Amino acid sequence: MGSLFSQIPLAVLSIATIASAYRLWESLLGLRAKSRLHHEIIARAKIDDVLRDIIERANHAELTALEVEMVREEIEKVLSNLSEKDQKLVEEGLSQPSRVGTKKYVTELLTAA
Amino acid sequence: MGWSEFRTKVTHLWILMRKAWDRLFKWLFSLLLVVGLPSVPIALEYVRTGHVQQDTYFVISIILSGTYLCGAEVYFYKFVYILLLIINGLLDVVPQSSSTGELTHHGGALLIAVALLHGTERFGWHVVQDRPFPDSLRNNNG
Repeated sequence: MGSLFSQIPLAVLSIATIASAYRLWESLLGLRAKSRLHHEIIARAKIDDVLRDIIERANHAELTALEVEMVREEIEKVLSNLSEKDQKLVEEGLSQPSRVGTKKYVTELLTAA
Repeated sequence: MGWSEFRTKVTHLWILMRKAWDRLFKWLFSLLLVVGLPSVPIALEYVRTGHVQQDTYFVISIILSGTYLCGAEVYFYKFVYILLLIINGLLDVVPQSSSTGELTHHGGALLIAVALLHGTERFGWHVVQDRPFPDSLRNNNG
């Protein structure tokens, strides 16, 4: 029993290591999903004047809160082209609790992911 | 491939690298402040006495897991932080001379577990989601 108890800290370390590795893997998939969505947005911008205009502005100036909202709506239309997993990962980035982070995330999707 | 196309590709690659580089250093900077700085007492104790008492590891792990618990967004992480908080708290009061005293030799491992969990959590926040650091800046419009 004593030796079983002595394994508790190492078991917790193992759980933490596995959870960390999983989280890191999810993060890398998140980066890939971001890059894929960027390419989808660029492709859509070729037929969407509003999106092309916003991309042009994002390349030269900071987006306003209204523009960020507009981009989010546009992204919703493009999201369906991605796999379910990629959609979920992008949604996490778009609905993060940080307003500054959301703005940067959206701007990066438009300019270069 | 023409010269202008090559130049565009190189410029694009440079922008990507620079952006990822900035975010990576933002992550490392955050780790330095939220994991490294609170762990300074361990280094100080080692420099002063030549060894680190297990109690020091346990106390720092308790403080860190309690702090990270407040900011964790995933329930699994909250669960593990609470688990670490309880285990560290219990091990801190177990006398080393007792029958379960051997348990108290894993303070370093538990501290590494806390740091690993929070480090990877922050990787997603800063490198993928591009959240600012310090976290208090997150609702600024700038």
